Formats: sequence, C-alpha cells, structure tokens
Amino acid sequence: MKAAFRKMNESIRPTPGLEDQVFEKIAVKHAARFRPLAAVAAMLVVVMLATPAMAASIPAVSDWLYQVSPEMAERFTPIQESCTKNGIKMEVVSASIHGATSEVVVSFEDLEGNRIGSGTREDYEFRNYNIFKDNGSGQSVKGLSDDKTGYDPETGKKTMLVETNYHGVTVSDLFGSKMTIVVDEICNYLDSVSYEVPIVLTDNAVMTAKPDRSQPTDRPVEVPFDGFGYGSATRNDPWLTKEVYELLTPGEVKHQITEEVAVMGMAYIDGRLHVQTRQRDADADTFSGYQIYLVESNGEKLCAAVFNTFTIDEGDDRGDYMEGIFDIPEEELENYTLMADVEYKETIKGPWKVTFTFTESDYVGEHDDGIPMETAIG
Amino acid sequence: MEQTRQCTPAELGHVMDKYGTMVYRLAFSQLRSHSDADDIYQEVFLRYYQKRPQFESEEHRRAWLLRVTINRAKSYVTSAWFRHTVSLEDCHAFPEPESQSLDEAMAALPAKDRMLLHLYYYEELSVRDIAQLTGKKESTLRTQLTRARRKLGTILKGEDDYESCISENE
Repeated sequence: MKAAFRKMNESIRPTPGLEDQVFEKIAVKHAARFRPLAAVAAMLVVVMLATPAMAASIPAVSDWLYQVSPEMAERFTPIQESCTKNGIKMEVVSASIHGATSEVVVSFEDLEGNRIGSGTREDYEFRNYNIFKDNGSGQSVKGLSDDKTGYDPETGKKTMLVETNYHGVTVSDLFGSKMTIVVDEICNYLDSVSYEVPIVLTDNAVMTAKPDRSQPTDRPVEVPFDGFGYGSATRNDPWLTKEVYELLTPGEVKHQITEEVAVMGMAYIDGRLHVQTRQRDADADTFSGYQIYLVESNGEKLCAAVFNTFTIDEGDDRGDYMEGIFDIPEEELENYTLMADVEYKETIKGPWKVTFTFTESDYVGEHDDGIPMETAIG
Repeated sequence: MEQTRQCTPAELGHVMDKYGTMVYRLAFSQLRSHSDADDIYQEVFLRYYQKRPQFESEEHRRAWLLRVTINRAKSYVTSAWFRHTVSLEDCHAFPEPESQSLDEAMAALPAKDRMLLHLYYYEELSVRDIAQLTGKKESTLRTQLTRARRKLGTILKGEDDYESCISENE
C-alpha cells in the first residue's frame, strides 16, 4: 500500500512559480487578503459561465463551436459516445488533437427534467485521463474557460470544451490512445436565502484559544482552533499576532437560523463584537454554506474583520464553529442589522464515464505556433 | 519546543525546497484541488516566515509543517464557503491508471480518513506520531485507520490490479 501511495503522489507537485509567489507576498507588506475574496472571485467566474444572457446566445453544439472559433469547429471529428445515469446523459461529442493539446467537446442533457442549467451556477466534478499504448506520461489539464462553455435553453443541453495539455508525449503516442472522461457529480447551486438574525448580546463566558498546539503558553487553553480567516482585516491586524486568543465559550443554542446553522453566542471582547455560529447536521449533498455579515442603516455591508473556525466533537456528530469578529463599537451597534446568507444546492450523483480513442483523423496537423506535426509535442 | 528568531528569505527558500512538496501533497490530499493546495502552500510558508519558529530538530520542523498544513486544510474544509467540488482546471490527471484508481477511491473517503491514510502510508508516520500531530488518542486513530482502510478496500474491490498491489505492499 505504501508503494501505491508513493506512486500516486509522485506526479503531484507544487505549481511552478509557487515559491516565487510566497516571496512576492513577503515582499509586499500588504499581503493578499484571505480566502473569502478568492472564493468570491471564483464564484463570479462560475456565475459568469452560467449566465442566462450568454446561454441564450448559444443555440446548438455545432453552432456553439463555430461561435467559439470557426477554425476550432472545423478541426473536430465526431465521437458520439455517451453515458446516461440518473436521467442525465453525458456525451463526448467530438474531439481534436492539435499541437500539444487535445480538445474534447462534452455535452450534458437532462432526459427527465431541467436540472441542467436551472441553478444559479453549476459545478461539474470532472476528471479525465489518458491511457497511452506504450507508455504513461504526465499531462496537465486545463479547460472550461468562460468562452468555452455554453448552454442551450431550448434543448437544455450544456456543452463544454475540455482541453488537455500534454508534456513529454509524442503525436504517435496520442494516436490510438484512450481518454476517459469522468464526471462524479453535478452540483446545482440555488439562490442563497437571507435571514435577519436578532442582535441580542449573550452572556457566554470567554475562553482562551490558540491557533496551534506548538505555541507554548502559561495560560490554560480550552480549545485549539483551526485558523484564521481574513475578512476586511489584513494579515497585519494586531488580533492575528497574539499568542493566546479569547473567544466565546460555546454553550446552548441562542438562535436557530436554519436547521443547520445556529447562533451560539454574541458578545463583546476587547471592544470587538464576536458572533459565534455553529453548523451541524448539514447534508453535504444539499447544504452549500453560509456567511454572516452586518448591514449598516445606509445599506452598506460589513463583513467580519476576522473570523476563525474550530470543531468540537458533539456526541455522534460534530459542530463546525465559526466566530466572526466585527470592528463595531457597542454604542454603534444599534445602527446595524445582522444577516445570514445560507446557500443550498442540488447534487446529482454520477459517475458518468466515457472512454474513447483518439484516431489520426482527430489530428489537425500542426502546432498552433506552426511547428510541424512530426515534432514531439510537449 | 520551538522559539522564534529571525528567518531570512534564503532560509525560507531552503525550507520550501526541502518540505514544499510534502506540504503540497498533504494539502492536495485533503482539498483535492491544485488551486486550494496552492493557497495552503502559500499560507503555511508565509506563516513559517511570520512565526519564525526555531526547532530542536528537523523532525520537529517537519512535524510543525505537517501540523500547520493539517490545520489550515481543516480550516478550509470547514469554512463556510468551501465547496466540495473541484473545477476542471484543478483536476489532476495521473499518468498511471492504478494511481488514478487509487486517487478516485481516496476521493470517495472523508477528508479525515484521507489525511490519516496519507500520513500513515505516504508520510509513513506511526500512529503515535499522528496522535501527537493531531491531538487525538492513539486508540481513536487506530480505530479510524482500520475503518479507513476497510472503506478504501471496499471501494477498490473488484479492481484486480489494486487488490494485488495492496496485498504486495501491506
């Protein structure tokens, strides 16, 4: 088993340039903000992919390909291999090899309803891999850029272009090689629901916490927590450099927002408002996530300066806690409304799996940069 | 225990050269996304630079990096907006079918099982080491490890090449 794990991990390596990015962040004192911003950016991309305006402009697979690129459309040859599961049909429509890249057009169609394209956005849990005739070589996968995904509202068909870049593989390796495309599940994200949460300060005791167990401290620590999130704060926020932190001690549920999310405490510590929430008993197939924030009377949204997360085993389940810390003086709190946005999703389980063979007719002859086809690609 | 002192970029570079792949692979095993593993990698080493820990031994340094990676990955998984989906750009294509199969089987396991199996089989840590890293009891981890192995075996069942691969290397 150890050998199998070693072999599996051999091809997983840090992205080139990652080390430089760390040094860049060190050099730039105003270091990058944390995950929420990145998450928002990622979500925007996905939302853009599913935007109805774009979808409406894409009538059919062939026309869609021509809209993406007439040259691209001409170089594809039909495959038409499909797999249907749970009423969803995945079809590998056509394929092409050019230069160091293979391109495969994949479509999804709901044969029983309109689950495809009905949510605010969708995630397709994709995997694809090649099996070569004589050798197995590494490859990197890219795909799904915002101009290469389409949706036809009339047929309910979603079409994607899957691009695979190869390294250290020759053209002859690709001819006759098999590619398997697997989609494990499709998640349809639904509109998030906003809840107003009563602002009622609670009398939770204060507990001490520390971010990892390696930090020595003279003070007793009740909970090790997983880490910080940076909301409106930066990494230079003094709160983030302490050895020991003070958080609210979880107790009874103070306010149940939804079946899964509850307010566990709301109190001031060192002049900052702490709002502690707990997620529990969430169905991973239907519950997507939530966020809490304040809204000022003028409508301006205020995210937590800092939030952190910790987990507590609670009988047969566990509570995933999040404590948002807001820079709002208590005397100004009456000007704010506390909101929670909760998002759900529909998960359609696969897997959908199609294996097909690249043939010489899929090859268009030249690299994009004009390098002759005989040249080894990669 | 580690103390703090000045850490130079050159030292950080050396640490990233030596442990970067370890951190990245552990993060990837948990989050199954290259972009998320990239984020964790950066956070772990930025934290290393900011905290400037000093260690009694290389083993201690390695343990610190593993622990911080685990904590950061857990924080990601439990954060409100983390999504258990991987964009196509983040897919990892394994060159060998058997590695792809093992990866697919691992993907079907809960993150805590993946972490345990990765630390045990890939990093080759003992249950005692993992207990120290995670703060869990050894007995709990043994039970969890047994269950995780059983689940992995069930998923892999029917894939003859893996059955033989596992039995050969156990």
